Amino acid sequence: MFNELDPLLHSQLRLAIISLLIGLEEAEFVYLKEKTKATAGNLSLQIDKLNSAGYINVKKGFKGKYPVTICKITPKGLIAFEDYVVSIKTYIKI
Amino acid sequence: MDKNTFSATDSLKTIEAAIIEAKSSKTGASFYYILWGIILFIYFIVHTIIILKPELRGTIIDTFNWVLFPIGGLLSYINKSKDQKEESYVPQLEKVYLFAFTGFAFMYAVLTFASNYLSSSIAIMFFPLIIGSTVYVVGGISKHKVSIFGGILSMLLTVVSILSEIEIQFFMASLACIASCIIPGITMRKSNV
Repeated sequence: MFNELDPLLHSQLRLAIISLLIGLEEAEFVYLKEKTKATAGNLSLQIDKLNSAGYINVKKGFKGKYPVTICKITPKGLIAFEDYVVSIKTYIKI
Repeated sequence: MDKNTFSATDSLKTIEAAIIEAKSSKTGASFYYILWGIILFIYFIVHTIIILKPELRGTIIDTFNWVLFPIGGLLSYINKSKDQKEESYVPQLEKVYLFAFTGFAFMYAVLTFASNYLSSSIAIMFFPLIIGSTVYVVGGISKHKVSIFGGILSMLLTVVSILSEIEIQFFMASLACIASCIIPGITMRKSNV
């Protein structure tokens, strides 16, 4: 029996963003861009989707003179990620 | 990078790669371990020497030993500001370090307060125990074996400290700084923790 996968997380970039945020307290947009090797536009779009779903929290501010976007996983995002991992395991015999 | 659909295996590979990447992020803790290890080592070893050589009492070394702490605070502040400018992420372990060492500072402050009432040097006597236990716990969480062993060694030094006179207690405290701060800090720096 296969569990249904969360469509929001079953996307390579969104999953990479959430997986990176799982291991960190918070991360800036530039860090996520560097690690995922995504384009700024695409990354921004996927971050917005995760933010709208309440999976991540996005804070905008300034670091010195420069604008900065900080992303942090929410408890809802953490639960969604855990559920996703449980579901994905039903597709692969681990 | 984005694909609308990808296989379950790809999915697990993405998760694994991202988690490994995030876990390998540097905390910068080695700087504070080495800096404060050296400061506390100098502070305790100077006290040991002054007790053994009373003629040094009142000299510049004795009078200005406390100056090390504001210098340490200033260097920590400068390093923290530099890190905040350069770093684009906050590792989860950073909070572990923050809470563990704040707890250590509280314990040491309470023991120092108690020392004044008990007319005993319990703060110095138990310094190896509290720094050792703090480093042991943090080492266990961060899976840093040198910190775990350094912490245990430091805690064991407390036994010697309890059975000794004040000058040996200061000496044990300085050894605890080497075992639980300086050596773990150097190994962290080498392994880019």
